Amino acid sequence: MPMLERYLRAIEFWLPDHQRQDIIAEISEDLNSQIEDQQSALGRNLTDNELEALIKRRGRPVLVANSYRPQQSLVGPIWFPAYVFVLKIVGLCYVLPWLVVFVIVQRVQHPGLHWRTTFLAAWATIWTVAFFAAGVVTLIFALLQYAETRTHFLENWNPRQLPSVRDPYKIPLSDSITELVANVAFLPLWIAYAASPFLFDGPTFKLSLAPVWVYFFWGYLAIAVFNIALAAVNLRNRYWTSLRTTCRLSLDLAGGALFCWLMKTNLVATLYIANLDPARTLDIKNAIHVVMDRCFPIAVVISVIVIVIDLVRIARLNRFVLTKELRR
Amino acid sequence: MNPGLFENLRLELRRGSLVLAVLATLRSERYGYTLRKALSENGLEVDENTLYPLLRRLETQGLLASEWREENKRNKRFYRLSSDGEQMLLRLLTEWQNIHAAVNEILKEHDDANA
Repeated sequence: MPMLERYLRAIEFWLPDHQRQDIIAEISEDLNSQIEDQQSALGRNLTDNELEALIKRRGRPVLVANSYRPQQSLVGPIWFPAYVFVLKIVGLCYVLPWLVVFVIVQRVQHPGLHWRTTFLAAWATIWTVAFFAAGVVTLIFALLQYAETRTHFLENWNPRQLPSVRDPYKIPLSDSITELVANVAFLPLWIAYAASPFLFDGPTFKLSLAPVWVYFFWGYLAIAVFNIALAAVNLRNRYWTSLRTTCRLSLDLAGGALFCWLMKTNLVATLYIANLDPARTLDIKNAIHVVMDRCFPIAVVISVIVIVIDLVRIARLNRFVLTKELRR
Repeated sequence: MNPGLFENLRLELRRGSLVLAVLATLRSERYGYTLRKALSENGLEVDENTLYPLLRRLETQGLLASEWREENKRNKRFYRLSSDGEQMLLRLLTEWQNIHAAVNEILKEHDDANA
């Protein structure tokens, strides 16, 4: 088959059905006019190389055909910045924590496993999670793009509904009040009910905690007292300072460490339930310890998230101070 | 200066003018190949893959009319300006002249300030 014919058939494949014959006829006519013009200028037929050059200049068949199609995209330029932003958030807040939890669970469940095997297992499964997350985000944005193309709903907006500018260095009043109220309410309850390791001491139900409980009791008590002091200072001066961000980080570090330790402790010393077989009671006690042990990775993740938020606050504050000094 | 950047800006500048040039040239009937030659002879080189899809779009928008006709033993698609196209051309020409005058005015103000 001649080269020109093959070229036209290749373009035809990619053209929209209802215009296919019409467009091909026009492209064919245009190419034949060009060939005729060149031939009359040269006074001879074109060689294969000259014909090849002419066809090549016209462009790759799929690109030629695409120029006849309306510009389409799954996620268009209007949504693309938001799409990339959400993908980053999902990567940071879903895929990455998932990876961390997976590694921790693997280590807790199979402590004898080599680290390399753990990472290989994580690497093998992370793709499914990452592709699924990216796929869901892409699907949502493709639907938004479709809706926007049909209804132009983004054009309907009200400047009065723009969010107010939030100063990242200002401590919201509601945060300080909530922290103060919660800790003030917690403190008497904690002293009243958690001071003794004998939590329940009735005739039908007894529950006492291991001696290690004393560290948790005093630890959380101290943290609550410091939290109240910090919240009170924050209420008076509503902007973060280096000292107070460091205090916040120290308190959260201590709280996180205690929380993680609590999950790994065999906390229940004695458990008695009347009319229950002692062996069954022992099973329940062991089950409580197993559940707490299984919750250890969750405790680590929650603690890490809180500490990362504190560290970001410190980094922002330092950058803000540095920028202010540079401006002087 | 980055030559790629210049080429992008040049293409952007030409894109709007191309519609005007095509509508103006098609005040007399032509088929695609002769239209491209006419534009080229007037200093406006246009790629075939830009011109032909543009002709189809303008026809869909009702600004051009076309028909297949035989000439020199070959079927060719002839385009001409429709009545809507004529009105649109007049409005676009006015707009074009306004832009031209505005840019000239801006350049003149700048030259006067530097004089």
